[in-house]
Amino acid sequence: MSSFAYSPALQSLLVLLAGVLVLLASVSITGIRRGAVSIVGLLIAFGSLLPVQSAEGLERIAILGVSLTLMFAAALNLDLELDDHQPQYLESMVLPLMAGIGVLTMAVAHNLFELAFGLETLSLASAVWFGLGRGERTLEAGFKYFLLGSATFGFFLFGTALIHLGTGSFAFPAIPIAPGARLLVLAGLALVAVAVAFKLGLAPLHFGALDGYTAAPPGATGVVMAFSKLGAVFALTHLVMGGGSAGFSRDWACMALVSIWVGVLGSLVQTDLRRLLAYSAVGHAGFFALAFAAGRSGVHAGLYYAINYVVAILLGFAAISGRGTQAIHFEDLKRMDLSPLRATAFALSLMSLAGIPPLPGFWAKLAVLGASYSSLGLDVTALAALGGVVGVVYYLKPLPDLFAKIRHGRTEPQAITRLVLVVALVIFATFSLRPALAWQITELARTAAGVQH
Amino acid sequence: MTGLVGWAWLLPLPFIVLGLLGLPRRGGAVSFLGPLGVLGLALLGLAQLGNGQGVPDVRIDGFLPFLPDDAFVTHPDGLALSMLALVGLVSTCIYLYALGYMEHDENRHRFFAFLDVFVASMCLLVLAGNLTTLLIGWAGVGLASFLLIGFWWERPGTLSAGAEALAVNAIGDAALLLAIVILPVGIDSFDDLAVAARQGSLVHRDLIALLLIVAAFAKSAQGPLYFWLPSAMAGPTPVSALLHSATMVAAGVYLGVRVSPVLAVSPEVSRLVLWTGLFTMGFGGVMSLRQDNLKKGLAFSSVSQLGMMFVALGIGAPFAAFFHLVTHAAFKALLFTSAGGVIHALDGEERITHMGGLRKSLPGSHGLFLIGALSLIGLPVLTAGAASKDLILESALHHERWLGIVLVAMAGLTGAYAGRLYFATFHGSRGHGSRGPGGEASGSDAGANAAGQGDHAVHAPSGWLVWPLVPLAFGALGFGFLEVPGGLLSRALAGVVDAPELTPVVTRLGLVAGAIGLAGFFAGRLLVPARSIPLPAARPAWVQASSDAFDFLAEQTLALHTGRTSRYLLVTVVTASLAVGFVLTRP
Repeated sequence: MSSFAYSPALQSLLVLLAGVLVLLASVSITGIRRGAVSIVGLLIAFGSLLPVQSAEGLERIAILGVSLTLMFAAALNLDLELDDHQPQYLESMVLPLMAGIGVLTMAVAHNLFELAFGLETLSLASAVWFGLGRGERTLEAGFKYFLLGSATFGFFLFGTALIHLGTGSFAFPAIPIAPGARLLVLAGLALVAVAVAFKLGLAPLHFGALDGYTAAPPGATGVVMAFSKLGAVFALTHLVMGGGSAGFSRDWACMALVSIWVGVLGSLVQTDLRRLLAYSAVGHAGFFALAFAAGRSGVHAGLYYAINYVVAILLGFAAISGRGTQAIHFEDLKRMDLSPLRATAFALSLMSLAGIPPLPGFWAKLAVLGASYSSLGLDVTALAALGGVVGVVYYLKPLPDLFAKIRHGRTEPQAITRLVLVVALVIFATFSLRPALAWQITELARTAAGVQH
Repeated sequence: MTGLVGWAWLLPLPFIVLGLLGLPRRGGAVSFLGPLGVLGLALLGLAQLGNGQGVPDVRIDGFLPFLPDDAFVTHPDGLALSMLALVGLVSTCIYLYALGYMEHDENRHRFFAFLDVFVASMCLLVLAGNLTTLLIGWAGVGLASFLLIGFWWERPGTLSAGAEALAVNAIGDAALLLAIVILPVGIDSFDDLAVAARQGSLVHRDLIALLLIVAAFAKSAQGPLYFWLPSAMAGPTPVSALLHSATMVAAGVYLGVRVSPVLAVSPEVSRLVLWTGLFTMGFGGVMSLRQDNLKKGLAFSSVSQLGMMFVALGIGAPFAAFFHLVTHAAFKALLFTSAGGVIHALDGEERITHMGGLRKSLPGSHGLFLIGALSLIGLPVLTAGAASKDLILESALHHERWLGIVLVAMAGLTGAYAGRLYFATFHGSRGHGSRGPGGEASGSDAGANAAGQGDHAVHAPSGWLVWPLVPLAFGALGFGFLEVPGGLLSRALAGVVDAPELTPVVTRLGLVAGAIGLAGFFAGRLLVPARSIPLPAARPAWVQASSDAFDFLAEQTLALHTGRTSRYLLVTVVTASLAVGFVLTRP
């Protein structure tokens, strides 16, 4: 625990926590307005980014991912005037901060107990956030996500208890497992994995996430998607680096393939853009899982996939943010008159999610498939690659409608959204042309400063 | 100076920026400098090679650190430089042509910016020294193709044609990607690949060969993956000429030539290449005979000619395949651009049943089209097409007697569809078939502004639509002399691709094929359609069937998503129980 006090991620975490308290206090005392809340949120996000200079490995990735996602959330919060379903400006700033705290906790966790704390913080914040919008649909989605999250969290705790029973500690199980404790630890790990799979949105536990992603406002969906994927990836990193889960890789690979194909097939006939993105999240969860199924050698690929996925998903949701919580059908796209900037950003995001080179999503797929081939063999890799190919078709379906009316009247986004889009595009372009950069960022330090257990 | 050759792919990039900024005022007026520079650098490099000196590689290590072999490499050898010169030459001509063709298009800047994206990607593809670098260019040309096919997005069918092209290209990308993933550690260039293949030390040899060839098939519209190319004709004609006949679709053949040492040691895959190429060759020719649309007729001709190049690859004659690629680029670009002159003069009319008798009003386009058509059918001695086709025929005859005979017979088919398109467009009387039943209903892709107006007045073509094509015409006639009798091309390619012994300018086989081709050409006149032809089904059956199967599976997947929380909870509990059960029952 001695390293805990100096951990840069912990400093970020404390900044966020202080920020939440300040926001809550200042609003209840002075009643400041939306704009100020968002700007304070932006400052908090910047503050949480500062410790990144001294951070290493997983902590660096966590701080970067969380702070950038939070900046995005804060900036888009300013743009929510366009969205008549979002009167709760304070909540829509505080909840992302809480979710960020959860993700950072998961990244710095030294044991299953701390991991559980982070997981539950993230789940609760996400569930409430899903339910923020007006109308029964969002409320229902939030409630479902809460219920399923609680159920899987129960499994997590049960699994933790079993592991504790076997090893006498909350530490991430390591190999070799003591022969007498083997069954207890393995059963415990399986239950823990179920909870993480739910967070990741892996089939067949994807239903709750699907409903949530479809119901929440687009900006919020993007942030929740980014956070839950990041959190799940950090949890997996701990579990896989611990080594106790080494025997599961084939099961994970199976779930990964099922997930990829459920994502592909579910997206294929969608005409609602948001449902399409929700199902695509299931497919991408499969690629995440595939990376971690490859064991320690796949962890780097998984983290690399995560960072590229987050960039693409934030870019895409920023492009369609501020448009309320109703379904967006492809037909509606023609009438939406997206500005060229928004349309380009959305098109690039879709193409990256589809995995078209030289966009970041493609490099990430290449990395994961490479790791998968070297540890899991050709059959699994080929099936995954095939799923990725069929995916291209459905991602591209909305493209024609996207540019259909671009020359006729258009809605220019708010200045702040434009700024967010430009920043996201710059990051996106950098990751496209210098894949090695994102790869270095996501590198776990090989020295003791990396993942500490 | 020659150190710059490896960077030639960067030359079009400044013009992309200019185009996006809306400069210069006459959109694209300076963009041709990009491909012209590429041509210059390529010739410089070739001259250097001719002096017996090498051209330096460009190598950036650590570009894709997650791959065992992570370098970004451009390797300007003889094969790459020859192809680069070809791309530079054809692109320059077509850029100038497009200045005239797109003169009245308000989005001209964007058009040239997309073309620049294409040329840059194509140059990267050509110069690539390893598969990873090739894949970047490979995907870039696919994306440019998608953007350019959909350039006239407001016309019905263009965007879906673009998406179709991208989807098929994605199949090829996936195959290439898998090939990169399974390529053994330590093979980080095409040279290493060739060495490993020759030594017999290549692990997964057949699988790698198969994946590479699937990628080539997707790009070059071979076998079952042919269908995107005819649809791609929805794009502007300069695009059809540059991307979808001369250069981009030939990238598959180029890849085949590049990896020919792997094919050479993998007889099963070679046989697959041979049969697919042969089938596609015949199929493309027959389909061309059934088209009402001038550009689609030419597109199926490209499918057929590419099939012939794959036949050459399949029988282990990569040099002949590449030689035909070069001559085909010249005469097919010429055919498309001169056909574009006709279409432009008729305000976008593409149906041959609405053409006819245009040789007097459009003498420039007529002459150029005729040169292209004669080179396509392989008129001996006079045309380039004859020289390269002759080489393929000779190789085929040496390989298997029956194959040579089949290919010679197919020359008649080539002649027939070339003649049919030629006579329907330039001879006979104007609008000879337009009075047929369903004439207006079977509108072309440009039908949005053509249908319902009957025949159009022919307006005088601008010089831009004729003069830039003259170099292509010289190429269509004279590119044969690159190899016969001097052997210039085989010397340039020495060390990369083994060339056969020198062939004479004319062989008996070539004369026979030429005669059959000419006979077919005149017979084609009899096949000129008397009335409009209803458009055949847009998609082949297997595409429709697999699309239906996916739709069915998709509905089943969605049916699981009921929205009932109790069901979700049940699934969660069952999954957790199964997970524990699996783990505990495992030994």
